[in-house]
Amino acid sequence: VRSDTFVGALYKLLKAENIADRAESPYPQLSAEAIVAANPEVVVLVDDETPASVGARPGWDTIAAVQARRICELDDDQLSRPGPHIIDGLESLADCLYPDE
Amino acid sequence: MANPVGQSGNQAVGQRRLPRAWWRPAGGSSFRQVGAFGIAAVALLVCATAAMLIGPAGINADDVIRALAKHLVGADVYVAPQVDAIVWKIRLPRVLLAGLAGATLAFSGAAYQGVFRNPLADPYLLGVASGAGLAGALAIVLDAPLTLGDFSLLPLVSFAGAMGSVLLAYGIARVGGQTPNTTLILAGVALSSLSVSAISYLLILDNQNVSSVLAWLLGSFNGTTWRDLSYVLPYALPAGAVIFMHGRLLNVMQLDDHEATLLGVDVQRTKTVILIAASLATAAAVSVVGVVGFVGLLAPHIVRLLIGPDYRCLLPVVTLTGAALLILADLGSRTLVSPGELPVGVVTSFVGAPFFLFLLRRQRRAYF
Repeated sequence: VRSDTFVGALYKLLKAENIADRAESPYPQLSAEAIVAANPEVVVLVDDETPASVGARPGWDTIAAVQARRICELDDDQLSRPGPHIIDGLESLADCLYPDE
Repeated sequence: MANPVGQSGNQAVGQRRLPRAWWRPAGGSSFRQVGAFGIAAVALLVCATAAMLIGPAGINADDVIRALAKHLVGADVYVAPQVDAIVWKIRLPRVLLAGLAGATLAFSGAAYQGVFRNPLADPYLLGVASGAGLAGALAIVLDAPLTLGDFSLLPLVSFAGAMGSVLLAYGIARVGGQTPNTTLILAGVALSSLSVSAISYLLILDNQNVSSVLAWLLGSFNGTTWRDLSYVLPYALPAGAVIFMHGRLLNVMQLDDHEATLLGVDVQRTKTVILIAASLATAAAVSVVGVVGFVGLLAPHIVRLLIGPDYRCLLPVVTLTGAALLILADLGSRTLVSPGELPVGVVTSFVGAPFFLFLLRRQRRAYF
C-alpha cells in the first residue's frame, strides 16, 4: 500500500521508506521484478503468506529482507482496520522495523 | 489462383478448393504465405526481445544480454545477483509463458472458428476459458490433490470444465441442425458470465484477497515461474500437434458437413478430435495464466486478412502471431502502471473487444 492511505500512514509515521510509493494506485499489486529491483530491507506480511512462501518466490532469495530474515508476519486485524487496536498494530510494526530499539 | 478442382461460383474461392496434403507446400499464393510466416516470426522475435529488455526494474540491455549469455551459453561474466534473478528467474519465464499461452489460445481460437465455421468463435467468447477457470478454481478451493510428481493435473481438471462449457454452448445454440453465429456467441457469453460469477464467489468464499481473484479472472503473468511452463507444455504441445495435423481437414470442413462427408471426411470424428485438442490446450493455458480474452479472436483474424483462409498455412502463422500478441500485451500489463501490475486480460480486452465489435459490425466474411 502507498503511504498516503490509511494503512500506509503507519509506515510513514515510523519513517519507513515504502516501495509502493511510486505506484499510481493507492493499493497496487506490484510486479515481481519491481519488488526484487527495489530490494526492500524489511517485508511485512498481513495475509496468508508466510516467510517461507515468499522466500521461495522466484528471485526473492536476492532480496535483502529475505537474506537477513527480516520478514514480519503481522495481524491484519490490528494493522488494516481503523479501530483502537491500531495502536497495538503500530507497536508491533515498530518492533518489526526497528528490532534493536 | 491455382484451383484445379473447385469450380463453385462462391466468392470465397480459397475455401472451395480441394486441399492438398497438409505437408505439401500450398500452391498459388505460397509466396505470400511464406512471407507472412516470416513476418510473424520476425514480429514474435521483436516482441520477445522488447519484452526481455523492457520492464519495471529498468535493467539496461547490456546486463540483460550478459545474464542471458551466462545461463544460455555458460559465458563467464559477472552479473549482479539481483539482475541475474530478475532476468533469468522472473522475466524470461514470464515472456516464455506469455508466448506459449498466446500461441495456445490463438491456435485454439482458429480451430474453434474452423470447427464451428463461425468467425466469432474464440475460447473466451465461447465460455471455454471461463469454464476451464471455474473447474480449476473449484479444484483449488476444494484442495484437491493436483500434482503427480512434477506433472500438474490442474489442466486436466480445467479441461473437464472447458469441454463441458463448449458442449453446453454448442448444444444450447443448436437449432434444427444449424448453429447460428449469434446464438452460439450469446450462449457462450451467458455461460461465461455464469462461470465468472461462480469463480468470484468461490474465490471470495475461500478468503482470497480481491487482487488474486482478479488475477484469476482477467489473467496475470505476475509471479510466473519455470515450473508454470512445465505445467502447460505437456498439454499444449500434443494438442497443438493434433490441430496442426488437421489443417487440411479443417479446410474441407469449411464446406458444410454434408459436402465434407461426400469428400470422404469423417466429420463427426474430426470435429470431436479438434474440439478436444483445442479445449485441452485452452484449459492448460487458463489453468496457469487465468482467463485471458480475445487473443484467440485477434490473431486468427489478423492473419486471415493477410494470407487468406488456408488452415495449413494459417495455423503456424496464427500460432506465432498469438505468441507475439500476448507477449506484447503482457509487456503492457507490467509497464503501463509500473511498478504496479495490470491484469493482462485488461490489456487484451481493451484491444480485442473493439476489434470484436468491428467484426460483428462487418460480418461480410469476405476473408473467412
